[in-house]
Amino acid sequence: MRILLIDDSKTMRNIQKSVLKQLGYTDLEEACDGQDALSKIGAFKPELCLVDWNMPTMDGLTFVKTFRQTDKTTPLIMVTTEAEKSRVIEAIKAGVNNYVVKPFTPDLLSERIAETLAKCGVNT
Amino acid sequence: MSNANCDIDDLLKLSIDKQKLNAVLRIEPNPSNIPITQDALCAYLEGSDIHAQCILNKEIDQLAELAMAEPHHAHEMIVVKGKPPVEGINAGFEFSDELKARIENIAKREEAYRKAEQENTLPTDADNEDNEKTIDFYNESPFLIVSKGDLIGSIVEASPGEDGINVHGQAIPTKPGKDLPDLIDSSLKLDDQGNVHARIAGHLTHAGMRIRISPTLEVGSYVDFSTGNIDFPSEVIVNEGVRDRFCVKAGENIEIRKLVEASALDSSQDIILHNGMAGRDTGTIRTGRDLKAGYLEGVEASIAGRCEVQKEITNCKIMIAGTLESPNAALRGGETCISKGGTIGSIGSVQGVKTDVIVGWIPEIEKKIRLAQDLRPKIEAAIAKQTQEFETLKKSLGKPSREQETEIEFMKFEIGIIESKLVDLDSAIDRLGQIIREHAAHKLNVKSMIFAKTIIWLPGFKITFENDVKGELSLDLNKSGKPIVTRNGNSEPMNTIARVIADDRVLPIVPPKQDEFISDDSNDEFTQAA
Repeated sequence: MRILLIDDSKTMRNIQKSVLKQLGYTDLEEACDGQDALSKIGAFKPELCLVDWNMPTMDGLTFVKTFRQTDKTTPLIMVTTEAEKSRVIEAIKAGVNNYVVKPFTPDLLSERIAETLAKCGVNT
Repeated sequence: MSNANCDIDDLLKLSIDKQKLNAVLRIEPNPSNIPITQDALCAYLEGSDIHAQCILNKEIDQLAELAMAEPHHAHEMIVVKGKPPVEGINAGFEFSDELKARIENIAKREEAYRKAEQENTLPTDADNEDNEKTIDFYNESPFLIVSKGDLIGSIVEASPGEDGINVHGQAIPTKPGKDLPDLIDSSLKLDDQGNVHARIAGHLTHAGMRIRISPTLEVGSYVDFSTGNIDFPSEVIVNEGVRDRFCVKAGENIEIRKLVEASALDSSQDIILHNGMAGRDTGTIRTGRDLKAGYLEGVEASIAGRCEVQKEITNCKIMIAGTLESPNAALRGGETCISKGGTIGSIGSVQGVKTDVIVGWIPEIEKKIRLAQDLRPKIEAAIAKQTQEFETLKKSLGKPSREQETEIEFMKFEIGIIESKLVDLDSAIDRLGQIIREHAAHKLNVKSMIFAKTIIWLPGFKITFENDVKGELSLDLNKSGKPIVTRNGNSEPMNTIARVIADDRVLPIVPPKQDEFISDDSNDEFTQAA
């Protein structure tokens, strides 16, 4: 499964990569913000995106809105914090499929991915 | 005219004092009425090598008039005056108003102390003052203690003085005022305005014309009513001891050469007691680093570093954040908590005094772990409750509207938030556990004996000694966290020498967590506090 990690923190991307590799996902691509992600989608064709919320250039919400204009089905998991609670409704309406709140454990991330893929009918 | 002049010379007699600053002119009786005029007198003085500027014209007039009015009598008068030199003033020092007031108060205290000592009226307890209730002998210090940067005073510069002149017009040299090259040293600094400030904190002394700040306060004999309580920013050395109820507080080391009675010692660095402290259950010690003492008796102590006691620790309550390094000392009675283990001569006593020793304990961290552990079930219960409500709502809605779907998703997000708190909490417990693993040690070496009625707590265990155990031994936990004793190089379970029961007075060692916690921030309360 191709997973796109969109986060401006390289450390966070590395942590996610490490967890996803532990979970058996090896086809991973990284983007440092929404703009970067949009530019990589065409070539990478992700089957799942983990989207951070606060990013420079293009934030997570703008990315989701832009992405959903052309792709209604690829599952999007929002990686967020309690501080972004007020914007969650907006994110849900914009087309986010699930959330994982930082900090999280590998188990929790695995659970969220499985849940999201099942909900979206993606065969892993 | 010529004859008359000769005659007048016979009548006049000039006397000059030793300093050559005054000259008296005497006119003998003048029955022949030889004319005596001011000019004649002046001419005589000039002929006697008198400097014109020193002649007192008014007195010359008076003398001449008097001599003419009463020619049958002799007359004399000071008619010449030189000018004495004005001596220069030596450089001096003017204390600031605040220090002047303090110096005055110190003088009053010393006077009151002398009086009280002579009359045997020194206070007998901490609440008393002197008889007039004007001096608090405990809290008013006889030492002039200054902080870095304090204004001490100003230097008054030496004046050069002014030369004088004698009756002959010769200069009398003045003595210029002396500068004081040793007035201040490197402990003080002089600014452009002539003001002197403290370069260091310490004890200001002003013996003669030498002003110094010593970073060390040396008390000549005892800390008692003569010194009051000591609160000093750097090192304190007491050449004798400390009397009951007095306090010594220092920003650096405290060193006391003789006996410390039931008093309070507080140092931000080391405390060295060459003799020891007889605290009688009220003496206290707090160190920011190590404690070295001959003995401790009835003392409550908090030691941030190592504790080295030579002879005995009797009935004390001691918290040692470092190691106990007292291989020759007997630890009898009381409660001794040691964060990093160490070595002691013997524990307990022949008489069976109850002696508690707690090893590998860091109370501040443990408190936080316990708090976090208490919180965990509450968070788990909150997650369970929210999840149950979520499931119930989801089922009850059947096919939810778009609006309801959004609400359900938001509820899920909120459950996610609580779950993340649990992750945070577990992470904090793990990190606190790591601090204990890194900073606590639970190995205690006993050089000669553990007496019956000694109780030793190791992480997770209470070890009660019901019989004396002789010989050198080492108490520790093995890799599985179980208590073991090592004698002659052989380790065996602790229960071969003592009764061992599980006990969490010292929390069992928290094993490192396997799961990797994921967060890009680590600013949770527990970790920060730790």
